[in-house]
This record gives sequence, C-alpha cells and structure tokens, in this order.
Amino acid sequence: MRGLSLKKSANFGVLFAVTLFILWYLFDAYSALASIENLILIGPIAAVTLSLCTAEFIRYLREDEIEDPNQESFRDVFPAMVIFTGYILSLDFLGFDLGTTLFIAIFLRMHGETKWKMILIYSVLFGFLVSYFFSQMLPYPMPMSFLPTDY
Amino acid sequence: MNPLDLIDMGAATHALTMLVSEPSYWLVVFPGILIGLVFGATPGLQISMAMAIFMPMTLYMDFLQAMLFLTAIFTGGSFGGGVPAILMNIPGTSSCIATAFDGYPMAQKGKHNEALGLALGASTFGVFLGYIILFMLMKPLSVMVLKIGPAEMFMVILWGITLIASLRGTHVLKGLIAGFVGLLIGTIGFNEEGTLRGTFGNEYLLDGVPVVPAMMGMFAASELFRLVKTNYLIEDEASRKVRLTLIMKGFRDAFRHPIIMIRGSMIGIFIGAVPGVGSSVSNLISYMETKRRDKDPESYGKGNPKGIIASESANSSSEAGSMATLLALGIPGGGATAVMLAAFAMHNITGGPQFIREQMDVVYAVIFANFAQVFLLIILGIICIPLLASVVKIKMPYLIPSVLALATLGSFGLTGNLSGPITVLIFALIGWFFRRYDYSVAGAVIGMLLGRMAESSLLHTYQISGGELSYLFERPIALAILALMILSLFGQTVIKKIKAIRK
Repeated sequence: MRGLSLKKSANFGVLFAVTLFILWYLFDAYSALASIENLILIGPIAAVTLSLCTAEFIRYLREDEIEDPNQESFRDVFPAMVIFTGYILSLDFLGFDLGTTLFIAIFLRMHGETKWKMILIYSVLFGFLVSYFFSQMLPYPMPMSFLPTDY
Repeated sequence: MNPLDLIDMGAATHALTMLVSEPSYWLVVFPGILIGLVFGATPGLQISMAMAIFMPMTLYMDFLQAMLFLTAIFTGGSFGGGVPAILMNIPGTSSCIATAFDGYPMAQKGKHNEALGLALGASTFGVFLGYIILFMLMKPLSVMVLKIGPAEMFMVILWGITLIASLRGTHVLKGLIAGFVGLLIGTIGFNEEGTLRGTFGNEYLLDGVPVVPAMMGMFAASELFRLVKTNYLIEDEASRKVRLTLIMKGFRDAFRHPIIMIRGSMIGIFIGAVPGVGSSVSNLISYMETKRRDKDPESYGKGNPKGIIASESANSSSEAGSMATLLALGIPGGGATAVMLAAFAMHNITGGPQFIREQMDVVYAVIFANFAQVFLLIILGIICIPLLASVVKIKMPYLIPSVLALATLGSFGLTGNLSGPITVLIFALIGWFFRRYDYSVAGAVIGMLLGRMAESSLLHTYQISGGELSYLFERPIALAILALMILSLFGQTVIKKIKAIRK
C-alpha cells in the first residue's frame, strides 16, 4: 500500500476535524430540542455539509495532492502561535500594558531582532501607549498591571 | 413619468437653504470623516464602534448636525476599512472582504499605491452615485424594500455564501464546506425559540460566537502567522515607496472602468437596502459579477485592479442603501445604522414613512451633505493615504506582533471582556489551518456573519408558509435569486461543457 503524503494526511486531518464538529453540533442541537424550529437550518445544512465532506474524502482518495514548496510549514508558524496563545491567556493577570509589552519584546527577539535597546524601547512604548489609548476610548475597565484601571 | 415627480422640490430647496445658511453644520463633517478613516483603517476598530463612542457628542448637536457627523464617520470608515484590506489582508470591516482578494496581491507586487488610489476612486464614486440614487429613488425604494420578506432574505444569504464558494475555483467543494461550517458556527447560542445549542456550557457563548473578533482571527491573525518568515510585506525594497503620483494614478484609473463602478454601486445600493445583509454581501456579489463578466476571470485573486473597483464601489454605495432603509422604514441595515437609530432615539425621532413625509427637507439635507462629503473624503483620503500606506515600510517582526496586539485590544473593545481576545486566538488557529489547506476563510467568515439571520429568516418563512413549499412559488423575487444562485454555482461548468461538446 502506498503511504500517504504529509499534505494528504494533513488534509485528511482537517477534513476529519470538520466532520467531527458537524456531527457533534448536530447531535448537540438535536439533544437540546428535536423540533423542526430548532433544526430548521442546522439539520439541512449539516446534512449537505456532511455529504460534501464525503465527496471531498473520495476526491482525496482518487487524486494526488501536490505540495506547494512556497507554502509555510507548521514548524515555521508554531512558535508564533505559542507566543500569541501565551499572550492571550496571560492577559487576565499580566494586564494589557505589561502583557502586550512582553509579547512584542519576546516576538521581536525570537524573530531576529538583536538590538536590546530597540526591543525595549519599542515594546514598552507600543504596549503602554496603545493600552492607554484603548483604556481611554473604551467604556469598560481593562486588566492592567501599571496603568490605572478599575478592573 | 417625469423623474422630477419623484423629488419633493420644495423640501429640496429648503434643505439647500438650511445647509448654506448654517455653517456650523459643516464643522462636524471634517472631524467625522477623519474619525471614520482612522477607525476604519485600524485593524480591530469598527465604524460602528467609532459611531458608538462618539455618539454621546451628538447630544450637544441638533438632529441634522448629528446625522451629518455620523454619516461623515460612516463615509470615512467605508473607505478606511479598505486600507488594511489592501496593505495587510485584514478587512477593516466585513464589507471590505472582497477588497482584500485583489488588493493584497497588488500590495505584495509593490502596487499598493495604485491599489489604494483605486479604492479611493471607487469608494468616492460609490458614495456619490449611491446618494444620487437615494435622492432620486427614496420613495420607490422604500416601497420595494417592503416586498423583501424572510424568504428573499434567506435566498440572498445563501447566494452570498455560494458566491464565495464558487470564488475558490479549483476548490469549490472546500469553499462550500467552509461557508456552511461558518453558517453552523453562526447559529451557536440561543435560537429565537430559546433553545441553547453548541455552547460547551460556556456562558460567553449564550449570545453566540463574537463574530467580529472571530473575523479578525480568521483573516488577520491567521495571515500574519503565514508571514512570520518574511522580512517585509513587500520584499522588493524599490516597490515599498509611497508615492502620491502613483496613488493619484490609481485614483484616475478607477474612472477608466465606469461600467464596473456603476454596476458595483447599483448592486451596493440595492443589496445595502436589505436589512442586515447590506455591505457584507454586496461587495462579494459585485466582485463575483465583475469576475464572471470579465474575459480573464483567472486573473482575479491575483491582483486584478477591477476586483478592488468592484468591491469598493459596492460597499461604499451600500451606505446610501442602508440609509434608505433606516430613513424610510426605521430598520437598521447593520451595526453602523443601528447606532444611527439610537441617535434618532436620542433626538426623539422615529424613522419611517411618517418621518419621510414630515421631514423630507432633513432627509434631503443629509443627502446633499453627503455629496459634499465625497469631495472632502477625496482630499482627506489623499492626505492620509501616504501616512497609512507607510505600513509597508515596517519590518514584519515589528508589524506582526503590533497588529496582533491591536486586534487583541480591539476585540476586547468589542466584547468588553476576555472572550474577545480568546475568540481571536481560537479563530486565528482555525483560520491558519483553513487557509493552509485551501478552505475558504472568507466563506467561513461570511457564513458566521449571516448564520443567525439565515436561521431566523428560514424560521419566519416556515411560520408564514405553514410548512407549504408552494409558498415559494408565490415569491418571484426569491425564485429569481434562487435561479441566480444556481447559475453562479453551475453556470460556468455548464457553459464549458456545452463548448466542449460543440468542439
């Protein structure tokens, strides 16, 4: 049996995840209330989408996927995803001012900026100025470490 | 019938007198356009947000001045939203999605100056023509909009999604899957009957997935992840220059395609008048129509200037369409007009047929002032574009985290809690996988935007018809849209097959 290419395996993975989501959502909506009013859109759209997923699955089996060499790999973007995830999840306790400053500083360092003075000045200026701007513009309190807030 | 019969000449004269005799009305237009430009051009900030933030200021204005201020923000924002769509592939608003299709590839080729000029030209034309049509057709349009029922609305929504899917060319199936998955995500939360679906027990999802933060994640963050290995948005140093002459060239070039601009503006005003659908769909329909009619449809999505013209002329003229529905029926077409409706209430005014009948002079004054706003937008746009376009000179390691942080802060601004930033994160990851494996990100976003409305429209149709399918045959507009939808999905394939058989 011929082995699956990386692209094909990943394609299968994404399609599988999409199919799982549709099945779970259909089941969840059906469990909530099995009435026409509740399923009037979800039912038909889920059925059509599942049919399309099946057709796409068959297409994968029959056709070869050609990998575009210019496309970025998961390995390239993974570090950026991790830093961004850390930034978002830490906002509640680091606040927007410190969180944004640290996020920008770490991102810059990891992506080739070697001048520490530049990293420090840019990240602090951007993090604090933008957080201050938004805190003044928005009608609700924002989490902050140093800037004044009612959060 | 004499076209002048459609215009109330007495009210028009009174409107002109009001605008000329009271210079203070004009004082609010300049800052209004500037606010709209800045908010539209800043990823994460929305026109509706700008209008909501500055709405309390209108308490100190009379009704006409308040309307001029808010429509000025609307006009500035409708162009401003195209700037990040072109430069960063981040549609500032959902109405600029199609602008990014060809605008961003043009920017990547170093043609960002021309692309921004094209967008400004098409936007100003769209606003101008939109308000002319509104002026001429204010009365008949308000009657026509009343004929649009839930069945027609559902068809327009479905049409929008299938259009996106068929844009994917070789990946139509994946485009449809993405669009329909988006539609399902859009229905998460309570439905009209009070049933709760798909929330994982999370209280933040009771009202559904916050759509704008999800859009920011899908479009902006996922695209920025893709660019982590690049040094600049435009790799060629010579192409990164911001030149006013090239911006002006792009501006003039837009007027070399009058048919595309007129068609886009007409689509914009009529789709824009449909409550809730508006500019989110009109820019896509205009783009698709232009692509379908072009001799070289394959060049779209790769930096064809006509794509920008089609999208920008449609989304800008949608402003006039949504104003028609707001003024004539008192129904907001979207977030921005919903804020305007709140401003109506603040001044104890209710939009609708009675308002038009009794205060037609105020309606005409708003329309006339918007003609003047077009020229102010050209001047301010030309002054501001070089500043906004300088983003291409920023190194990507600086640009990426800065825009991600802006989107995060903006999403917090939209939800008022951390559910906004978390939504950006989740949909950024989904968006990257969708983009990487050729699922239509735009289709999924449009689906999410319209999911809830699609469900209500279908439910209302079911309730009105009593479940009888024959009801559809009593709705010629719905049938016509259905025919168009089928044509846009299968038309090209059928024509190709017929041609192949003939050969």
